[in-house]
Amino acid sequence: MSGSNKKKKMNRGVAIVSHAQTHHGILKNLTLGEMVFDTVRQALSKVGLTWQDIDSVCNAGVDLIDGKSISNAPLAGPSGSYQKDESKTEEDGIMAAVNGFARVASGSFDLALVYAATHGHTTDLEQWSRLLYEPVLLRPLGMNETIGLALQAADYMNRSGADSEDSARAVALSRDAATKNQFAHMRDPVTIKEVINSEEVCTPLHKLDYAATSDGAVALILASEEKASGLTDRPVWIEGIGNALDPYHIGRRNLSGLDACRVAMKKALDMAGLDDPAGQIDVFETSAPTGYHEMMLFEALSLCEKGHGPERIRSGEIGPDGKIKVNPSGGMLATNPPVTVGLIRLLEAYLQLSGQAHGHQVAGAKTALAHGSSGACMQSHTIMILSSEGL
Amino acid sequence: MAEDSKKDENKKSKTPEGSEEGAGKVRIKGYLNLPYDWTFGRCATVFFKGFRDDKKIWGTRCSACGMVTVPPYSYCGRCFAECREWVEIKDEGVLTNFVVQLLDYPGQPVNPPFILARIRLDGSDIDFTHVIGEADAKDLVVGKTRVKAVWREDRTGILTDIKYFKPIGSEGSGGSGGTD
Repeated sequence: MSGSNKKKKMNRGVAIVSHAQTHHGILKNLTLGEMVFDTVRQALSKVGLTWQDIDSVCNAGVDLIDGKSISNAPLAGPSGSYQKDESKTEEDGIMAAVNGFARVASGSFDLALVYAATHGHTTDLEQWSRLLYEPVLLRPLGMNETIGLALQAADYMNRSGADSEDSARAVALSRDAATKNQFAHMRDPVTIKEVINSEEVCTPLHKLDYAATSDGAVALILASEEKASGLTDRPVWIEGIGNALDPYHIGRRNLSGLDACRVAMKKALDMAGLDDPAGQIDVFETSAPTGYHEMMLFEALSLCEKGHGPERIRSGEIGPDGKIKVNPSGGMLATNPPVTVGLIRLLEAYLQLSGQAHGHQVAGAKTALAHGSSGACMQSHTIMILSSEGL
Repeated sequence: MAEDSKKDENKKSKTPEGSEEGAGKVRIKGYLNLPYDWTFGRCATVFFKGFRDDKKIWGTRCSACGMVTVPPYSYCGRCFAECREWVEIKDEGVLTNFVVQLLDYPGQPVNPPFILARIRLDGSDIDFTHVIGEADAKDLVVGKTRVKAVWREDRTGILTDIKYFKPIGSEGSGGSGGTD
């Protein structure tokens, strides 16, 4: 990796050494605990670990989706957390990995289990997401996540000239890619026409413009550099992390600019010592809730100039099969268990670099980026940059 | 001998027949119905008194960046600075963004479909979110259409004291959404 940016020194290296995930979909035959149990057991057994070997457990969940206060509490047993250092983040799943990384990098822990699991089907997310908004100043207007995403999409259209066909194309490309990913939820392709002709839910969004809700669970095992080499010959190193938050009040935001994503990206690149993402990173896995957001994220991640998203999706230059590879797994548009979705992005980045992505493997990928987001209209963004070689 | 075989019999694991086949079909409904009592605090109290008593919209200016925000907050969302200077905002401005909401779920101010918009009110530096009424979406032009508040007669000091904003004409230039 050559570049003018100098890599930041870390206390010690942290690698992802193992993983497991459910075949995402609508998983009504399993409880959340059963999904976690199966996934964690699989991740441990792949590298010959027992649950007692893990010394820290970090997870993510949202109480009001799970319908349980302190919703990690019932998962203590199935995650093997009994009497361990354990903590939950009430944000996107990728934040659990940031916490796991920090614990191992600190030197206080050697092996961290990171997991997230969501039953997206359990509750009415259109109603739940009303609670993302301030109760006195915005909620009386009936705001919810779909409306928020629609406002962002409309803002992006005004600014970039994107149209409904561009969003539909992003969706069609993702769904097409997902046919090659055996763990994806929506594995049947859709055409641009089908997306545009699907029911209008909140203009400019049609039903198929945005990610259908899934159920799913993922587990990753993070190891210190001292432990990693003894567990696998294909460790994948966490080289860069960036996280940033936009104002809560949507009036204070550049809605479609995703400013916090730009800042998070800069921080992650600086930490990894990179400065040319399109040239230096082989695979990107992003959390784009709609086709419009897929394009917004191309711009916020500096893969193209501001306003050039639509043109890049039309030319196919950026996409699952483009010159710049974004969401070869099918991304969030094909698999969307709320909260867990960002940790799936990290898992997919890991799969690519450890050569385990099978049908959607990007040949020779050595550096990958995962993006997760939380909050109303993507208030917070988290970026992790991984490398199979160490940067 | 007979006793031994009886022991073996007991050791054999027993699975109730067909027990896992019903998984996914057996479920129970649950509901959350929690009451909340949200306080308006020192800032929104003043803001909504203006709604109720005078049909006036007030914003606050950040003591650090100088931005005028409406609805107002006591603190700046970016600067971690106090916003205690009150600035009167006009109840009209330019439409900067809008969507037509078609989904039906509880908690909406009017039955869908309705237009939800961002409006750059005159005197404010950011966009105010509210409903647009007496309008056809196809006639609205972002950055051009001017809208004005339609106040309720029976105001109680809440956000929906403004029934909606209605179009009152257009102008040559305006905001483009966001604050940058």
